[in-house]
Amino acid sequence: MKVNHRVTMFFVSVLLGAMLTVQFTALNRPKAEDVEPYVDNLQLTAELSQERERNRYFESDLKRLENQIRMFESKSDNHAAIAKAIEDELAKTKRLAGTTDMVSNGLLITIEPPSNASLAVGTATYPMLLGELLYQLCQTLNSNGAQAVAVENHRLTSLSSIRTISEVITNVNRTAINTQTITIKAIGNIEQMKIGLNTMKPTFIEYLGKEIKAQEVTNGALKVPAYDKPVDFTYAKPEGDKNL
Amino acid sequence: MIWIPVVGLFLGVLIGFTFDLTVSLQYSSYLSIAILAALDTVFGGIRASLERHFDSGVFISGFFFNTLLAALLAFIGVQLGVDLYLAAVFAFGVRLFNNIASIRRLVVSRTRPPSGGQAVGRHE
Repeated sequence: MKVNHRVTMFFVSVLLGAMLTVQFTALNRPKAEDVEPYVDNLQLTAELSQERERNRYFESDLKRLENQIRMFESKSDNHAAIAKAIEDELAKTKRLAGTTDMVSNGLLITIEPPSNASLAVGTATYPMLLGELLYQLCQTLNSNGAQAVAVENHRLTSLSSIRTISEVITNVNRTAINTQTITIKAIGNIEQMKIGLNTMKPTFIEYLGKEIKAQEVTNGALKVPAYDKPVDFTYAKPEGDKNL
Repeated sequence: MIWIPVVGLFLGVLIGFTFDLTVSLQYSSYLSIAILAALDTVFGGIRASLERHFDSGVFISGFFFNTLLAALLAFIGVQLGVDLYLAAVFAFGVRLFNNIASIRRLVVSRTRPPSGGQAVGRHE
């Protein structure tokens, strides 16, 4: 067989192979793809897992509420005991919401210009990042065992805000703080919080030219004040029976 | 020289999977008829090469012409509401079997040693 005959045969065979593959792919791909948008299985699995997690949370919450009802029912003949149980529950809720003072062991953290001047020399600072980095620092503390955190004695709760207004003004809980030296009080697992804190130190030096110092308070005298702004929901409503 | 179409087919399949080429399901029936025609041409080419009268021009023109004609026939059949593709399936199917049978005969006859010559040789 001549060379050009071989080339022709080879070329045609390649073409035939490609045609076969195209036909095979067309007939064997999922039919759903042609009639409805493609749905990612991974996304569905993740959503299912999230729904299961939510279901578990609701079940545990339901169990807790049922226990509470049983407790109230068992004390139904004793009004004083009921009042005490309700009072305890209210105190616990206030504590969790951050509307009561907390006193315990923890860290007293200060963010200030570095004592060693050589650390700040030649370092360009970005004061507009203060709010963002402060927020990151508080999140780091929260994820490392902090149970109550206050920045410049402003308690951080789910209603709190940390916002940069200008290069010299940063607000915490809608109140301007002194941006030169910032004090943070954090109650919780001291060792774990120190680990989290160490991860943020280089960032503060690099972007703000400020040093983070932490002082351990182990005599149980560290006081984190309560959230002092009025808690009032204008638009939000509690989830009632109708919504369930 | 049977390895040339085999390697070509393999490479074509590889290219098809690599580039993930697809065709809409409504056109896949035309493609299937075209593949049948192409298969017939390739087997015809193998037979011609074994019979030593392979012609590239005839082969290439036959491949494209038969393929397009088969697809066109199927298309016209759909437009007219007549299953014309069956004609193509029948024609190419019969030719395909004939070609494969001829190739088989040629391969068998070539692999089989000439009986008379061997016997003479042994005695010599």
